Amino acid sequence: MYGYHGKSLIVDLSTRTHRWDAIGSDALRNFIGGIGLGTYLLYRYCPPGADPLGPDNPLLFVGSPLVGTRLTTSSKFAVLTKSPLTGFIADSLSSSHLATELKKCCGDALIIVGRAGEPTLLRIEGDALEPDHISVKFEDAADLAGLGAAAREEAIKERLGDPRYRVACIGPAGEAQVKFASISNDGGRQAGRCGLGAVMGYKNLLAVALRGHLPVEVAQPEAVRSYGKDLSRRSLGAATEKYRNLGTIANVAVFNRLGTLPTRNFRESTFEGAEQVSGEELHRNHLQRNTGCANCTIGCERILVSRDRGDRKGRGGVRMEYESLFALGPLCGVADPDVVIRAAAICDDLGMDTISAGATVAWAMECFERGLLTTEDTGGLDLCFGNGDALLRTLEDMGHRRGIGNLLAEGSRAAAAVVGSGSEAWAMQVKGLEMPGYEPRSLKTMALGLAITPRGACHNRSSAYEADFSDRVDRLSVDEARGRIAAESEDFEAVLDSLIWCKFLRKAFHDFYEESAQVYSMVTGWEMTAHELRRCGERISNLKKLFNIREGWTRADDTLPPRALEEPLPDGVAAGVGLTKEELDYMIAGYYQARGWTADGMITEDKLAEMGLLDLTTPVGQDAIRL
Amino acid sequence: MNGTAATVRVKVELFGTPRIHSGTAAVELAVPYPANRGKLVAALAKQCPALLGHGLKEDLTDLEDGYVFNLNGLAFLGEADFTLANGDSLLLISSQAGG
Repeated sequence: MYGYHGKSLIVDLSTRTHRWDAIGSDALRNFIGGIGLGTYLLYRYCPPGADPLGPDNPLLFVGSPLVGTRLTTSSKFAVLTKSPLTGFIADSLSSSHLATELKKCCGDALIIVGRAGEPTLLRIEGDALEPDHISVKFEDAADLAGLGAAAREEAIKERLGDPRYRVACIGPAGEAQVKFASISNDGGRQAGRCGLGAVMGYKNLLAVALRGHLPVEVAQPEAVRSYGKDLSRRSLGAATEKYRNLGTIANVAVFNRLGTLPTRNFRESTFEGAEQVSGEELHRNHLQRNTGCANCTIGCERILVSRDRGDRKGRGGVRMEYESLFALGPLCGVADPDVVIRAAAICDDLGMDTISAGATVAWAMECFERGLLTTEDTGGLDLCFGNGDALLRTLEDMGHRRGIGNLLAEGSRAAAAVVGSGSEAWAMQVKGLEMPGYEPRSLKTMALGLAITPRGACHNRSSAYEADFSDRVDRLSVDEARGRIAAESEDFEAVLDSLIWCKFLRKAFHDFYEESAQVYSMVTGWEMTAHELRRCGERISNLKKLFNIREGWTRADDTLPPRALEEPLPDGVAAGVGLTKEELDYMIAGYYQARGWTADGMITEDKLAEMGLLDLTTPVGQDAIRL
Repeated sequence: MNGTAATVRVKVELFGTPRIHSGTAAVELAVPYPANRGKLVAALAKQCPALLGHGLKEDLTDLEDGYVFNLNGLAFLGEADFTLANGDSLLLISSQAGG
C-alpha cells in the first residue's frame, strides 16, 4: 500500500495491551487522512454518549498520506477526541517531526483508550529489522509530574537516551485537567484547541514517545519529487510573503484599522494600544529568530523574547501567533508587549490553549469590572482590563487550578453558568469554545462560520473570513450567498486538513483541488479526481456534524453569544454596525440549505446515503478487523 | 488633503511587509486626475521605491499577487480599476487574511 499503512495501533492504558486494527481502503480514500480520517475513527471508536473525561473516550493521533513525502508543509498530524470543553468533536492539528515518527511507528493512527492507574509515559518503538514489530511500554512517569511542557519533553528525551524519539506531552494544565489544556510536541508546537490535553491528563498519560521504522512509500516517487520541487518554488512567492516576513502577527495592525480586532472581551473592535503590540513593532523590538516546522519552506514561526526585567518566562523565546497575541493582548486590554510575550510563554509552559485562556480571563475581567467578581474572589488581584500583572498571575492560577483559577479552568461558558447574573451574555464562546480573533459583527460571513462550525467558534475549520477580506461580499451586511460560501469554505478546509497541507500554502496552488487530487494519486496510486476530492470535503463536513448530532447537538447550538447579536460596535470604521439574531438565522438557514440539511440543521437519510455515511450507524468496533 | 484641479490627494497606509521595507506607516500622494489604479501605483512607486517587489510589481503595472487595496478601511478593491477622490485613504495590505 502506498501513502498509507492500512492499519492503526490501538493502545489500552487500562489493560496495558495493544493491537493493530485494519483500516479499509474505502475509509482511507473517502476520508483521506488527518482530520477526515480522524473523524471517521472517532465516530467508530468513541461510544455514543461517552464521558469526555472517562476511560471510553479515545484519544487519536492521526497521520496523512502526505506525511513522509517531504512535500513542503506536509509534516502535520491531527489529534481528535470528544471535547471536555464542548461535549462535541475536538479536532486539532499540530506539526513537525512527530508527524513522521507517528506514521513510521503507529501506521495511519494511534488510538489510545482506557486510563492508566498512575502517571505514565507511553513509549512505542519499532524494530529496525522488523518494522511491523513494535514494542509498547507503559513506563512510570511520576518523576515527570509537575514539569512544564518543554522541560518535560527534554526530560523524556534525556531519559530515553535517544534524541530521535519524538514526544507529545501535556503540561501541568493537562495534569490538572484544565478544560482547554493543549498537547505539546517538538519544542512547543501545540495541538491547542478543545481541551485535548485534559483528556490526556485524565488518562494519566503524561507523554507519548515514538520512534518507528515502518517504511513510507509512494506510488510515483519521481513524479512526487518533481511536483515537490515546483511547489516549494511556488511556496516562496508573493502568496506567502506575509507569513515568511512577519508571520500571522501581521494581522493586528490591519485588523485594528478594519475595525475587526476584538478588544476588551469583544466590547470594542479597535484597540488604542494596537500599534504597541502590532506585528511590525514586535518584529522590530522583540524578534529573536524565525523558524518553521519540519519540511516547510515557508517558515512562518516568529520566536519573540520579552525585554523587561520580569521573571524568566518569555525571556528564552516563545512562538507568537496572531491568535495568542490578540487573546492575551487587546482582548484583555493589555498593550505591553513584554506582558503579552510572557503570557504566551506561561500558556505554552503550562500547556493551555492561548485563545481560550485569554478569552476566559477577558470574561473574568469584565465580571470584575461589573462587580460580579471581587478581590475576595481573585485573592486580592485587581483583575481589570489592562492589568498585565493580574493577567499573568491569573493564567498561572488557571493552569494549576488555584483560587479563582479553578473556576476559570472550566472555560468561560461553564464559569458563566456558575457566576450567573447575566455574565453568560459576555462569555464569548460558541458551543463552549472561546472565539478567535475575528470580530463577527464586522465580518458577517465569518460570523456564520463561527456559529456553525462543529468544533465551536473556530477560524481554522471555517475560512469564511476570506470572503469578508475580499471584494466578493460586503463584509458589513448579509445576503443569501453566505450559506454557500461558508459551506464551501468548510469543505475546502476539510480537504486541506485531511491531506494535510498547511493553510498558509493555500494560495500557492494554481488550482487547489486539481493539484491536490493529482498529488494524492501520485502518492497513493489510487486515481482521484478534483470532483471526488471535493466530495471528500463535503463527506468529512457531514460526518463531523453527524458526530455532534449523535452527541446531542441541537439547532440552538449553532449561534453566537448575546453580545455579538445585541450590541452594535461602538468604534472604528464599523462603528454602529451590529448583527441581529434574525440576520444570523437567515444566514444559518442558507447554510443548511446549501448543505442539503433540514431547516433544523439535521442531516437527512438521503444525504447520508449520498455521502456514503449510512453504514456508519453500525455499532462501535464491528468493522474493526484485527490484524 | 485637498488636491489641485489636476491632482487628487490621497493617503496610502502601509501594513506588514510594505511597512517594514519602506520604513513608514503611511505616505501622502498627489495622483494625477482622474486618479485611478494605474496612476496610484505609479505615484506610490515614485515616492516609495522600496515597495517595488514588496507590494508593487517591478514593472509598475499593479500590485504584486498576494496584495490588495482597501478603500477607507471598508471596501476591498479587488483587481478592478477604481477612481479616487480627495481625502481617500487606501490601505495596502496582504490579501492573505488567515492566522
